[in-house]
Amino acid sequence: MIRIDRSIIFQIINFLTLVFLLFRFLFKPVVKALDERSDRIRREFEKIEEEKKALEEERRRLEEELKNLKEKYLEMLDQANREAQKIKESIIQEAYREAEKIQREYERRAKREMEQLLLELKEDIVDISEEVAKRILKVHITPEVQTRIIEEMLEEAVSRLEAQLGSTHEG
Amino acid sequence: MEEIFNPQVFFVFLGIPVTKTVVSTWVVMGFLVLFSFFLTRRMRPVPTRLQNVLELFVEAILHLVEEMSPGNGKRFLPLVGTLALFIGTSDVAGLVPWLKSPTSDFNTTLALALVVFFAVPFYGITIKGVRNYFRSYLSPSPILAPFHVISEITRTVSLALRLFGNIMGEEIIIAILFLLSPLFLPLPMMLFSIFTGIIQAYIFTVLSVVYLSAAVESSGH
Amino acid sequence: MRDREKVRVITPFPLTDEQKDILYSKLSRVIREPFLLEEEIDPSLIGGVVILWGEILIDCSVKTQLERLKERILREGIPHVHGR
Repeated sequence: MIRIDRSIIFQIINFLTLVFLLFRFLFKPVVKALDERSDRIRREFEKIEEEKKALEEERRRLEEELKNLKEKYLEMLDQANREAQKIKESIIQEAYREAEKIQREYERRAKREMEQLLLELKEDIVDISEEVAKRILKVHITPEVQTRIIEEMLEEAVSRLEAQLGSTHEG
Repeated sequence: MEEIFNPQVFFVFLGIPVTKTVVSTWVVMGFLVLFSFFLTRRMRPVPTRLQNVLELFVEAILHLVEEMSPGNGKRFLPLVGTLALFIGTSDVAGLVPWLKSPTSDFNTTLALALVVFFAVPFYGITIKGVRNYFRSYLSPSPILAPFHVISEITRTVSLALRLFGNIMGEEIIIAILFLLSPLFLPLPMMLFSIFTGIIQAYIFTVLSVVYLSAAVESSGH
Repeated sequence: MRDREKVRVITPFPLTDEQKDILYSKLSRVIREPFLLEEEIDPSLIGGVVILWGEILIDCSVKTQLERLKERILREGIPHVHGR
């Protein structure tokens, strides 16, 4: 029923030939395609990974930059504040100086006006005193007093004149 | 009936009879090679539907081998893949008029089993080295060495007989049904034979992978 | 012959004879020749006498004394009559 003949040799050769042919036309190209695809996918993946890394790097760089800018901004703000403070102080000092000057000026003027007033007051007092003295004297100067005044004052005046004239005569 | 068991001889080539089985084998081979050639002539980065089927098949074989013998997928692929394709196609080829399933001839199945039989020491020696390969026959005890050899022979014969018996049985049943009722009965049986044919191809392939991976595994070290 | 020297005498009120005598006797010590008194009244003088002889003026009026005192007060302040 089951006969083994020499056709088995044919079948062995046939099969081995088929193994070779399918290796050549089927398995090799398909495996190659599969490998290439997985390679490509891996490369894509690596590329994506690299891009991700680059993006991360970029992000870090930008963050760093932002931080620097923030620091710079704060520094500038600080400096501006300090400058403003300085200007403020100088303005205040200037104002104080100005105020002092104005005060001194006013004090000076007030003093002068006071002096002027005092002077005027003095003059008024003196004038009044003179007037009063005149009136009193007018009442009190009697002929006897007049005589004494004439005698004493004239004596003095004449003596002086005498001395003057005498000195010129001699000179 | 005689023709089913002893395929007719077309001519004798170099003293070897060219039977109908051999011619059918050539047809199957031609079909497979041409099919592969036209499909893989231009492999595209984005696969077409048929290319996708090929890739799925190759990946399935690779997966099958890698599961049992990690790292040897690409090494066993040509032999194992060809076994699966050839047996599967041959099983179904019997349904084509004027063709005979090459696997329904014991000469074919024995030839395939013999190829596996010799492939086992070939890969074993190639991967493990002569000493390590033959040392595996002495484990667990040198006394068992003859039994290892007997086991290898019997499993080869059983491999050949199982495939032959199944496909042969299918063909006989289909032939008898054809004689009884040429019109309606053979069709469901033919569809069923496609299923069993593929199952047989799978069994033969998986067993071959088991034998090959057992030969190359580095147990005892 | 020259005219007799004229001496103007200004007083706040008319001179008495005694006063005239005093004037004569005092002036004659300076004026060596006979002279004539020309009396003149000026009540604003208050007291004392002002004598004008040619270019020479002898002011011994209380009015002038008062003015001098006034000027001195304005210039130097009120003098301390009774000392410190």
